Amino acid sequence: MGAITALLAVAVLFLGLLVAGLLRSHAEILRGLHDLGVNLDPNHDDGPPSRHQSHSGQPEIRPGVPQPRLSDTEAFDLVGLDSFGEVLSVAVESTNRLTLLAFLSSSCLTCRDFWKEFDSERLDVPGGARLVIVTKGLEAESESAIRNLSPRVIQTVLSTEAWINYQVPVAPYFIMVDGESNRIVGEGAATSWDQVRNLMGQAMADIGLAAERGRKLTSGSASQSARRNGEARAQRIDDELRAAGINPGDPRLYQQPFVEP
Amino acid sequence: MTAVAQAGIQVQLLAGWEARFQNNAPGQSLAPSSRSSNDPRNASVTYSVAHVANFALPIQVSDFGAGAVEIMTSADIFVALCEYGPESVGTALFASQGLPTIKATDFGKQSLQRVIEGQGGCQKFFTEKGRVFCLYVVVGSYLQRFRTVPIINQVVQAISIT
Repeated sequence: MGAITALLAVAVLFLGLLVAGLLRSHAEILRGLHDLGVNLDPNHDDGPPSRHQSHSGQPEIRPGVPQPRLSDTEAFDLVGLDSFGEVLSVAVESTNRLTLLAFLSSSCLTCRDFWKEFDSERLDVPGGARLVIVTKGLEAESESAIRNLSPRVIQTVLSTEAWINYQVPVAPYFIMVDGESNRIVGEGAATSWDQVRNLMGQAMADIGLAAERGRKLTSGSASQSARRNGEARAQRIDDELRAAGINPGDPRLYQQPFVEP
Repeated sequence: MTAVAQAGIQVQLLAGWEARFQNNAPGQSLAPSSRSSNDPRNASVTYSVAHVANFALPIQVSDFGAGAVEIMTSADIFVALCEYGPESVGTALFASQGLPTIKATDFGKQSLQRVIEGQGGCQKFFTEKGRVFCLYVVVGSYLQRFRTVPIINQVVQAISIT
């Protein structure tokens, strides 16, 4: 009888410890979600997501969606090390070509897909832009990991300075630079190469830019078509806004949309 | 102006130019040798190598430009500064002192490590600060060399060796 009581006491103690552990784990998950901005309290009102605005007037970003860069930057040349520790610079500004900068890290899981994708010799880069991978420097990256990941045909530059200059908010992040005008043509975070291609292709179309093999086309049907589409698109949008009673200076034009994940 | 330096070679880059260094000194480089096996200069080991170009350098470029010169357009210029080992110091080939000034007449269509139609090349051997180098320049257009030589000299004058 005494042995059974002792056995039951041990079992109760064990189950008690198990429940305590589970409660603690649950609490840690809730705390983690709360830190990410997710509130599971049914009484908590998030408000209608389509009108989610902060008090500052800036759009609030749903958890999991990378914050955009704080502001646009100029174009900068890249100076850093290659994956073998040799010094190099890559000209981005004052060139007559497009450069697509892929800011990756060796540790982020999403970046792994890009590293693999970039090892393809038949990679289709928007506008034929020169693709350059930029990782942080050796103080934040493993040289051997970068060496193992680096594609054979695409230059990898280890440069924390480039991340700071371009104010890169997250990895992976992509910035397309027009070296002729030293302007950022398009930028954004993406989880797949197809998304990057769409993003940059759309950005080029929006400004009426056509390019082949990294060089801007200034004549020919492709160039004319791109210019017409860019201008025509802007004109069409202006016409539609006017028809809806929205004229230049209308405050509704400056309301920030809510960014969906 | 962007400046890059490695192994006592500093290059101040003109706008739109880029540079890449390679250290071939025995035991110093992790990079696989990119030098072509039929490169006549394999007879002597090059130490530090600096490539400077006004076009996008491909990832694999041999000491004297194989891999890069093939993609050059007529407006492109490729400059290679290749250092030789201490065994070459004091030899007649490297008797010239100081970084050279390039003249249009220095270029020849056959003075290329790899002869490519339309291109021109020149090479100068010299000693600077007790180190011996070959400066090898390729212009995308031999016919336009009179226009490109002043730019090349700007690039060369922006190199400093310590």
